[in-house]
Amino acid sequence: MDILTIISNAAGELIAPTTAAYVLAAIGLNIHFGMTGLMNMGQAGFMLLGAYGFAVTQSMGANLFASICAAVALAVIYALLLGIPTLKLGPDYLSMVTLAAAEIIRIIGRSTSMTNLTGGSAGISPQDFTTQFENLSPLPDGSTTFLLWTYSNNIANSWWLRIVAWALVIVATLLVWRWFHSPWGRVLKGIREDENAIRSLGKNVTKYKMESLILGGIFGAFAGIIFVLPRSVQPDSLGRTVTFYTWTILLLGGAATIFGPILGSCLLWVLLTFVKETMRGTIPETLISSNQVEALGWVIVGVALMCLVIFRPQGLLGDRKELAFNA
Amino acid sequence: MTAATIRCRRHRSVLPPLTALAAALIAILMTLTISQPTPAIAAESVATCNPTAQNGCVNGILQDASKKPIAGVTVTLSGAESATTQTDANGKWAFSVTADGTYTVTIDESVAKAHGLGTNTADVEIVKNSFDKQRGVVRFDQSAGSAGGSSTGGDSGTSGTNGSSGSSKSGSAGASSANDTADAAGALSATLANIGARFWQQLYSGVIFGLMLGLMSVGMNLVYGTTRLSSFSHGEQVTLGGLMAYVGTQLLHWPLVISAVFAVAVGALTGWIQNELVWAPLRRKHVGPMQQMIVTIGLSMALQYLFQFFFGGDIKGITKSVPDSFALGPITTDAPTLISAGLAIVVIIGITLFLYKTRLGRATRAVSDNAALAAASGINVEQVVRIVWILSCAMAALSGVLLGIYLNGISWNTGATLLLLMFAAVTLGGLGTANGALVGSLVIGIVADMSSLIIPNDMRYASALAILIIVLLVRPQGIFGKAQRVG
Repeated sequence: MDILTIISNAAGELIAPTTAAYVLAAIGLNIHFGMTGLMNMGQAGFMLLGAYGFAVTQSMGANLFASICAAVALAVIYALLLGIPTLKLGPDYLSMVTLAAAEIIRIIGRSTSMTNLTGGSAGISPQDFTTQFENLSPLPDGSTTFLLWTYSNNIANSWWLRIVAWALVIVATLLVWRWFHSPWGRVLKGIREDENAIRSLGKNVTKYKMESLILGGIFGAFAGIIFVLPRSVQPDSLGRTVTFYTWTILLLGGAATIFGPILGSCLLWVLLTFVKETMRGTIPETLISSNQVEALGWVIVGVALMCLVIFRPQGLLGDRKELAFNA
Repeated sequence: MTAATIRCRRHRSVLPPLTALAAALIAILMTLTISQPTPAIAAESVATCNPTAQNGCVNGILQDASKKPIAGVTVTLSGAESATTQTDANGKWAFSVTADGTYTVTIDESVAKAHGLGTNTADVEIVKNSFDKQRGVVRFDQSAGSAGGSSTGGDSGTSGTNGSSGSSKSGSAGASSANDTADAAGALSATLANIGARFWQQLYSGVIFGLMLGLMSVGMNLVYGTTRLSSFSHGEQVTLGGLMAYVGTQLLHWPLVISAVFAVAVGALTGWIQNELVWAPLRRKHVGPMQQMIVTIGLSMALQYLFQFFFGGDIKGITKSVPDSFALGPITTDAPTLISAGLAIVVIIGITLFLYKTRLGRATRAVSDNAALAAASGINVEQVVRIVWILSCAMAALSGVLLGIYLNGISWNTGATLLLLMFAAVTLGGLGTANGALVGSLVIGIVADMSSLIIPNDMRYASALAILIIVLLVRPQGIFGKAQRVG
């Protein structure tokens, strides 16, 4: 493999829909953790629910808007169910419950007894839920080459999806920028720093935390939709590891920053792809197989996460004084 | 702590929504049991089969009564999927299957008679995402030795029709009897009919599983008690134990006992090393427990994929032979399982004695109770924490070895699958209480295995996790926890 292919593959990750999906998920997590200090260890649960809400209603023939509403509604209901019992407890408990609940959703979704609704562990294949989205595209058919990259205009992993995904990212970033500097956002930051102080000011802390959980969850649901559009809905591809990736992205970019999620996601995927492709290209298959390269990629992410939290918990863009790790 | 207590007390006022949530969860689980048949995709005959998320395995070694392999015999698989294969020179045969359900494996009756085998057909239940049901090992020299659900299907594999007779829930059973594939509803109605027969077996396997889970979660809880750290990498310590035992028995050809000791020693060593290298420096830097928790997540990811890098994605068997099983009242079991359970009990009793009868144990409990106060009264907190880390990782390694023997193998992600169950057990018993973790583990183990009597088998871990959530709602400090620990 020559160096140009490696670079173009790695750079392709910069604008990939999956990267955008992770940005959205990390923006949601940023509202939870960066703004409010909630340890949500189940962002993948929100994503999976969003994906199911969208894909199941689409395959039943609902229109696009209704499907998106369904995805958002599921995320809101899920946030309420999670939040009511746990938001008054300590951070340990919220993290365990969100982790367990996300796993429950995955286990139920992939169960054989749910095959007629969710397709079981095989999931929902793209032709069942992407048609309406693809038909909405104003782009002509065929494929387009732009700089290094050639993608289909409308089908599957397309330019249309890229445009929509990054437009969503821009909207989300603008919203979060607005929220960060609003009175509401200042209350959230206050809760993150000292919950009791905010409570003593007469604010309903639980209500604010719940709003934060719901809003972040909605971004998670959108991330889930974008995540499944170029592939299929597979419960196992939205497991615990996705949550951990999202955490790595957020902490890499910097929690409680506006551009942290974008920088973190782009950087992580480009670097990871570059490292993996280089290893595939340079190390002979007999020494380290392709599967092993994949495993090594994970090891790198794990070690990176450890080092980040230990040596630079504020990430690349963050402010150490604004560290959200309390408790 | 005071604030936490206040929060905890205020929390009681949210009981109505939590009961609603519990009811909703149960309702969801119940409604899920009615479903459609899965399309039968052809199973594949393979040389060796390794279960993944996409496929389960039905395999075995065909041996005659004197354990000599029988080569060249046609083995037929029917049930949810069907295929045929021939045994190889070592008597080995394997099918890779994609659908969950009950399978029937048949060999020619004349072959069975000629070699003095007890039966020529056996049923196995395959559940891909349940690590002890993703592989069904079939042996023909004992009819009772097949894995669970042995009465769910006849030779033709129509478990739906078979199971509906005598079922009290005629509605769902009647509907499912029309399906001739082993779908989940069929399995359920069959299950309903067989609750009586399977009750004791499931209870027994639940207790065994609970004991092994107990070994893991007692250690995890000791760490939490002394350092307030919920360790996400504890599952990898379990995997490490099992894999080291595999290295000992299969790669270095040591006897099992020495391999097990080796695995526990490696486990203890990793506990000591990681405390010295990572956790002790972090504590010195006053890095908060939540931040440390994210470090454990990174460590868990790194370790898990290091295992995959070195050992590959398949299941590694610690022992190669299939042990002889025997009936014990209504229960079928084998000697290694009983020995494992006994060992687990001995170790847990030993830990309890250590905690309550020795100076060091008392010091450990003092640190758990209040680290600052313990330090003030002259206890060397760092020393206690070091010992707790070593003990906890050694116990995790031991449980990994026992689990590997009990389940006929261990894979790179076995521990990770169990992590959430450990959390559930620890929370149920009470965060930071060593004995609570044991009780919690037994409850979780029994519930997980017994719930497969009622709900589809592949959802049984969901039931254990649902318990976790319900416990947090009703009694967030767990069964044995003190209210002040919350938060």
